[in-house]
Amino acid sequence: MKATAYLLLTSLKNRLLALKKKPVMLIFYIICIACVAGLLVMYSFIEPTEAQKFADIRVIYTVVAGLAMLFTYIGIASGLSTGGTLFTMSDVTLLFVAPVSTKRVLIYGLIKQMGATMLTTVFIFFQIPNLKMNFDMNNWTIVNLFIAYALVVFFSQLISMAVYIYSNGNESRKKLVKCIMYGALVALAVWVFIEYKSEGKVFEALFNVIDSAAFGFVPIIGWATMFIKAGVEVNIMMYIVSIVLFVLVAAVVVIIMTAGTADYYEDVLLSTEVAFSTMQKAKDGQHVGVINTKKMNIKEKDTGIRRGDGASVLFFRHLLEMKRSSKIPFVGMYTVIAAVGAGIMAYMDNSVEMGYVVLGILVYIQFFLVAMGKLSVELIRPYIYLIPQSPLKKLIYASMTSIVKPFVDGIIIFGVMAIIRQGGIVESFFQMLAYGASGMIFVSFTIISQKLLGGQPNKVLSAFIGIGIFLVMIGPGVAASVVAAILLPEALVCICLLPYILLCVLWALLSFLLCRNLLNNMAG
Amino acid sequence: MLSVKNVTKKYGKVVANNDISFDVMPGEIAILLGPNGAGKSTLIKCIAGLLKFDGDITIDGHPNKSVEAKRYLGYISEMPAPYEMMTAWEHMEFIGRAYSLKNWKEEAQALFERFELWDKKDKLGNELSKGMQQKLNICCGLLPNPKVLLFDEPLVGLDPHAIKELKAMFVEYRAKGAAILISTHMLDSVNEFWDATNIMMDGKFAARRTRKEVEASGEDLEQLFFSITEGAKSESGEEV
Repeated sequence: MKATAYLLLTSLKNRLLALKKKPVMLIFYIICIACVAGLLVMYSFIEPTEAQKFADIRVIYTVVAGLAMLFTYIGIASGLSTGGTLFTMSDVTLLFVAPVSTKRVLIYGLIKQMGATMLTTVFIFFQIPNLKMNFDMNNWTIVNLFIAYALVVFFSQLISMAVYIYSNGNESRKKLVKCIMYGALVALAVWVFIEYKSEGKVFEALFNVIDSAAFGFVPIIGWATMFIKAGVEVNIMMYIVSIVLFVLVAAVVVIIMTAGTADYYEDVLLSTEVAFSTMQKAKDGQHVGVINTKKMNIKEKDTGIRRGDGASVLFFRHLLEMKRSSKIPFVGMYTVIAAVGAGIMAYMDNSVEMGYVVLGILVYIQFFLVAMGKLSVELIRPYIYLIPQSPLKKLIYASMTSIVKPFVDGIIIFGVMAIIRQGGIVESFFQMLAYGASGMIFVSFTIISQKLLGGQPNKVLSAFIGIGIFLVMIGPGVAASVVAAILLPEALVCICLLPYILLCVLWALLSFLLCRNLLNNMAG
Repeated sequence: MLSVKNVTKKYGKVVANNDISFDVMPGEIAILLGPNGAGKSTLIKCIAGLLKFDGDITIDGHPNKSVEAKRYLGYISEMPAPYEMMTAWEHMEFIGRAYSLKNWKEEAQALFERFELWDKKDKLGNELSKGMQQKLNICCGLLPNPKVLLFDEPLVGLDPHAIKELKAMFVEYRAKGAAILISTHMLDSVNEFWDATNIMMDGKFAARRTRKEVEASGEDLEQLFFSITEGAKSESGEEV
């Protein structure tokens, strides 16, 4: 058996055997497999009734196109920074230096990646009833969905490597890749807009574009959609064309990466090292956060914290870091993207309700931003615990940027919506306050979970307890506002977010009070 | 055996290695010294075939990235990274297969016994401690019985017994005719057996000396290192 085949098969065998030593994981996997098997048996009997009216299948095409676009973007973006990698540090230190041809090593990486990709398709299983009952998709077209998803995720890795190899260390090439990527996005947006002008309905325009024959030839996004359409419409030619496009481009990329003097080892080394160090940190229970590998040229006049004394230096240090990631403190690329997105939503649907939809989406995203934000990072580093200041003061100053930023973002995002909508000022004001207050409750959650779970070595248990705490904290506020929206007379519905806002503020005050001594020691 | 000629490695505009040339002959232990950021690890990675560079590196006359060169090369990296889902012994089997070795089992067992890994042979990579992982890393590098050995900070994380064994092995491999290049910060650890030293500063060799030259001058390795690295801050590169 060749060395690479030995590696793949032995690792797989040991992964299965290792489950014997982890009975909890074994039970978990057995339950998962039993659930999936049970679902499959159950779903095979589900058949929609004759008279049933089905949802527009173009919704599925749009979801596939959206997912493909997301994965393609992630692949290109990671290729422009550190590059994706099919390899581990073990491959670098043991396989790359071994007398094994680079082509064979690359094929090993691709096969390994495909295996990992297939595991992530599990989530589609849970959508099977929905796909069958609402979209009249049969078993074969659902299998196509699995294949299309796996292809797109696989291509995302391949593109990431290809972009990195092409553009690494060459600014003009990076600019060219960005131009092509954003150019394609703008072209698609223009296409939808032209369709919208003649159609008059946004979603109809989007569906028409994605359903068109020409869209099928858009790289990756269109090919994936064409593949799904081929199954639904039972069109052999579309199958052949989409598969040929995928295979041909993959083959060309692999050949270019291994041909002649091409040497991809160095190109994957940095990304492999970054991935390795991230995994090591995660294993050691450290906060991984956002890894910035972008080089910055800091001018001498821009150095120094300059302000702050005692605990307040934490706040000014955060300000300095913010200044280095964006020119205007508190206003970053996220603010701009969110404001533009919200503006487009308001332009396309100028009802007040759209503001609540935008609020819901952005609050969801904000949770992750705060979870990976400056306060969380500060709490896992030792310095804050060592500063000889009152723990409460340190906590307040360390939380300040995480509290202020959502309010600044809220003013800009919901301000833009109010301007475009030309009305609903009161609703926008409360939506802005609710967005800012959400930041406060997320900060409270960070503090309380550090207090209760800071010394908890079991990360799975921490995650479960954390979810419980989070629901207890945010649930009453959301429920109170929903009840208020139902019970209040129409003229006062605009203030339905008030209970949520007040509860967020209350949680913030309570968490600072209860956890005022949090920073006395690292274990909480 | 190992020949490095006019090797320059740039990361964008940063020159990590600048026109480096040297040879390590069969039966010679050369050491690579220098402060942090001097370019030692970059040079080792260039020789191991992991990085692109300008210039020529040959191993036993073969370009270093060729399959032939890799048969003769043993690389022991600074960071041990075993395959998580492979046992220690399966790592040996993998090396045996990758290098098409005959009778690798006896050699592997001897290495495991010397490094006190024999009782850990059925442990998975992720079940080994950092020190054990480094021992396994060394065994993987040594199993093909390479003619050229590259060590990047090999003693970090090892227990005293393993350090003693590894030092003894440096001498044994030299006696067998291997060309050995060791990059290290631990001057004491290589003091007993080094034959040639290359001191790097800012990506260049600031000094190259043989053991005889240093001993004749009445200095020791530590004195030489500090005189070069601290002196080179004012007169960089002039002492080569």
